[in-house]
Amino acid sequence: MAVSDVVVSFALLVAIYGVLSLGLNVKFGHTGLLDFGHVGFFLVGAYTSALFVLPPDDPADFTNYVIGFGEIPLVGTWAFGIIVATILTGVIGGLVALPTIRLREDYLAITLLGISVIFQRVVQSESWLANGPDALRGYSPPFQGLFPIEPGTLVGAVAFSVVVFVVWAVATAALSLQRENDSRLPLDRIYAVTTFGLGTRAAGVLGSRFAVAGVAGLIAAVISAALLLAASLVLLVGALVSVYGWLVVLVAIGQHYADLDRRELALGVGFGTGLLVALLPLPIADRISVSIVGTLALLGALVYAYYHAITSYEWVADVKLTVVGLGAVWFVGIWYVLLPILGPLGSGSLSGVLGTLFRNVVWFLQFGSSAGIGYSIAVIGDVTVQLDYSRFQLALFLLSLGALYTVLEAAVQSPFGRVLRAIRNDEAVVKSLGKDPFVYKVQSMVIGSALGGFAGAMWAMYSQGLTFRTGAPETTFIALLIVFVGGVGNNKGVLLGAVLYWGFQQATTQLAGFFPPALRVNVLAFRLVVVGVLFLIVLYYMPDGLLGREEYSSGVGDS
Amino acid sequence: MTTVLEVEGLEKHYGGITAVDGATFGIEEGSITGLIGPNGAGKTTTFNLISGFEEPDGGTVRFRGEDLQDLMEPSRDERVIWGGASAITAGTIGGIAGVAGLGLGTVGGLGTLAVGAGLGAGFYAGQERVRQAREGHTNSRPYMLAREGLVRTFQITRELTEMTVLENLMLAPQGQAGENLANTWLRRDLMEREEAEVREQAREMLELLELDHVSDERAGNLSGGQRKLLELGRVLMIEPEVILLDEPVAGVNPSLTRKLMDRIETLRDEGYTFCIVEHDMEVIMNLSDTIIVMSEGDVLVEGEPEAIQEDEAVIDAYLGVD
Repeated sequence: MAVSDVVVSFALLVAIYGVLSLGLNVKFGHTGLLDFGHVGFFLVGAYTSALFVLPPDDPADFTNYVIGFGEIPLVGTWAFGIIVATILTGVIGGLVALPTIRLREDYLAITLLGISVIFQRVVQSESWLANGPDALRGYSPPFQGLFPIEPGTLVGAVAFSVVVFVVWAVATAALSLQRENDSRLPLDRIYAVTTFGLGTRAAGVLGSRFAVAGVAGLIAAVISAALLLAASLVLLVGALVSVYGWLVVLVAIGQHYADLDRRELALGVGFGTGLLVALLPLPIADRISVSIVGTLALLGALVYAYYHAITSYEWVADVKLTVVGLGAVWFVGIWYVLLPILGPLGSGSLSGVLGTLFRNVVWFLQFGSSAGIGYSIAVIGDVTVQLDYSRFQLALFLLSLGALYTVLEAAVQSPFGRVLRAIRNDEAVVKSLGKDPFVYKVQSMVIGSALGGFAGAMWAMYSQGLTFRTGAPETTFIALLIVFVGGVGNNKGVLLGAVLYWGFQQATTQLAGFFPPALRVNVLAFRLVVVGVLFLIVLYYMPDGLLGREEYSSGVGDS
Repeated sequence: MTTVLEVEGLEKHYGGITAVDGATFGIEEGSITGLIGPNGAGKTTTFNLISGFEEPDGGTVRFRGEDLQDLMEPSRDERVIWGGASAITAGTIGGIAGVAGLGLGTVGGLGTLAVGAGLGAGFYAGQERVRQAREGHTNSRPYMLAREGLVRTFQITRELTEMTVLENLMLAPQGQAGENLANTWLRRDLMEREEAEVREQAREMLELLELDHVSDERAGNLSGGQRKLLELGRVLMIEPEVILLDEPVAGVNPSLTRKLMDRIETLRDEGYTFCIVEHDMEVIMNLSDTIIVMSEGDVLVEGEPEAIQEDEAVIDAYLGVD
């Protein structure tokens, strides 16, 4: 499995938890309603959408559930299920809010936690409702039947081009921002090419850069669909899209760290390398005790060195977070590009090295499965490529996340959002200014819960099977952690928090692979402890999170 | 001149303490009324009662001839929310009962449906009743009064400390289109146009109060005097009829106090009505058209500043002998 597949599955979780945490951020971050029961809406959303797409219950098998509209056209589709799940959780959020919203912070939190536990218990014990304590399975995520894509079919080409559209549009939008603050690279020319000439000529007609990006994405999608239908050029299109994506990512990293001088760069790279060195005992040492002690000692030394540096040298303290960020990027780069080729390099197979590199660079496609289109590439030999379902799902999820984020930002960047933030500050003031806090709090609960329900529906698609554990309280606290890490009341920060949290989870899952199977479970469980400690550190040193509260100093439309 | 605010036999008890005991007075439209008295005379409680932040135990307050309790009826939005919730709950219970009843044949199904719908409706009607009964006594709705044009400031300033000074002011104007959630998505143009106006208005207000240099500062970083100004500016942004000011110049430096007084007088001449609680005798005597002296929860004397300063009872109770 190529590293890019790992990244794709990680991004799926980021999208789900991004939506979930955005919902919690509306309630807690913007309005100050501490909802410990946010997972309740996640649970209801997941089960509702799953029950809509399931086929009618067959009394002959051993499962029991209540509706199952899967065979009714239109009603039994995911789109309908998600809409119903979102509306239903919004309504439930409003109904739950009515009696509880008068309570103050911690009382409200505990009451809502209780309500989410009630939801979980109902799902668990009412066996007629959704198969009770056993898992609810038997449905498949949207359009999964189309995969693996048959080359040359229209449906396959359309599914393929949807993914191309999303990637191309996102990359183009990012590039249009990047080209404004960089003159060394020929970004303008690249932009002109990737927007098919629209970027420079039709900018006035289309209006915003996002419209241009969307249209460019559409054109790219149509072209790729045509290429696929006419000549089955999966690999060519996939490689082009991948390279475009890499270009934007690398330029983004370069621009982000452009202001650092040489010694700061060296420090960041050193930090990342140090992290790598600290983990070396794990794969190298034979005895598990040696590797664990060695790694922990080296990690401790690294953390101490970092702490020492930021407390003793002022120039380090000024860039303390930047150094960690750069170190992380460096580390991820090595992990993504360098480590996978160590194995083939050791066995001296050049084509193996090139093949692994190629597979990781062309992240857009999945390699080496039984289905797909075969190619023969001179330097690396025969490969089979295909667009797998998880990449398609990721495109759908990212589209949803982007749309919900935009809608939510519109709602909070407004006088409405201002009233919410005022309620978080001091309700009495809001009352004295002629605004009814009750009405706004209920609306905030409705929006936040609806987002929670939407995330639940995404989870139902992703996990392809639900149990009552879907509604376990931990999920709420993960979402809360994400909100705290990124920045309370800051939607951008919430997305960053989701990336960081799942990045950590992904990294530690990889690490656990170095341990013997008997220990692996313990290592994975120990992560929760580490997450808890990190949570405390964040709260102690950065109570406002990494990005802090968002400033709305001049409101909307002020430039 | 008409009496815009009439207070009659107002009473408020906290446990064994009688904070306000039968106070009766009126506030004339377009005037400045000073409310003075020794500590514990019930001035702030009176303020809370006539601004709707607390409910009186006895007596009435009339604003433009209407009882405050009638003005503080639930807002339309609140009624919509509760009504919608009632309908949804009743419908759900009825629906579930109906589905369950279908198993009993047509007659049984219809019967169960009717029972379920009745149960649902009855459940929510009952809850509504309990809520109304309870809230009639405990939950006042001062925001309804602010909408009608009766606003107040607080003795201890209450800023939205995490929001900027400009935002604090922009929050105040009534009936902004962008406060409606649907408008933030569907009528963005209207909202942005209105925001530009409100921002302009807020900037003018800041200039007037000489706070324009801190407009993007968080309100929590302001000094005590600046907070007083900000709070005054905020209620003025509402464009109310009657403004209740609780110690507006406490902690404000003398030259700014002077300006503030001028400003209040100008506003009075423009038709605003003020009622001011203040301990600074010089300010209150110079500013007020009428002064009400309270003592032990009741009105001791009411009259023009000159007369008050001569009054034996007031000198005994409050002013002291020079």
